Amino acid sequence: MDHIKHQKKNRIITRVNEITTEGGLPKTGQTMIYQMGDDGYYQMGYPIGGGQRFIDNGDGTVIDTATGLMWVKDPQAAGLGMTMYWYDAINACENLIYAGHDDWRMPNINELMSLVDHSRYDPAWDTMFFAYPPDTWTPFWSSTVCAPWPDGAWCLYPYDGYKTSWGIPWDMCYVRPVRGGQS
Amino acid sequence: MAKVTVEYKDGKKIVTLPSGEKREHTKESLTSAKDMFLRRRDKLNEQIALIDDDIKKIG
Repeated sequence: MDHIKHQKKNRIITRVNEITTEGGLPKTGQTMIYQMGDDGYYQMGYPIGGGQRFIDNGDGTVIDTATGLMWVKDPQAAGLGMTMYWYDAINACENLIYAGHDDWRMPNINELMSLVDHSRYDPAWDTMFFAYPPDTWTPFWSSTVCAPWPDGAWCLYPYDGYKTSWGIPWDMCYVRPVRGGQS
Repeated sequence: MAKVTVEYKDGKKIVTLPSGEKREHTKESLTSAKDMFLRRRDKLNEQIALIDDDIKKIG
């Protein structure tokens, strides 16, 4: 029993070390302090010490060092600049061959939300790394279905990073393919 | 375009996904989803009213 507890403790220590050295939850982007103890006060998250988070690979892709995910910088450049139904968006990502990779997929809602910079709006992400969307009031699809309303999938407004649910069979949204991540 | 078909029978909404998989929605599950949207709308209306009030006071 003690042996199992020891193993578990070691696994936790290893994981905490991985998170602190290789990343974990990303910073929100807020730097303004409105109240001591708020997000701007602590600025918790990765990268630690205000280092560079995103790496532009120069081939139309961007690496997020907080999550390890690779993103398409500009979906329009990858031929996915138009709004699509949810199923078509999934298929478009699955069939995408871009920047020498063929394992693109539609991001889940946690992955999509990890790109949101809460210090920005219209759009709520860093446009140095992620292209300005054609319209900030049309959401980006995630691959995650809305549990309380399975006719809808979770999606995100580029304007402010607001998470909402749009109808799978009848709504059309943008998509930003992603690759990598843990399974 | 991937096609989703919808039919209403046996007191349920039956959605057939492009994969052929069927998903059933009962009146209760749809009412609960409606309630979720109504609550969201209520909060949005409340926030819009507060902003309207500010705009009115600014003149």
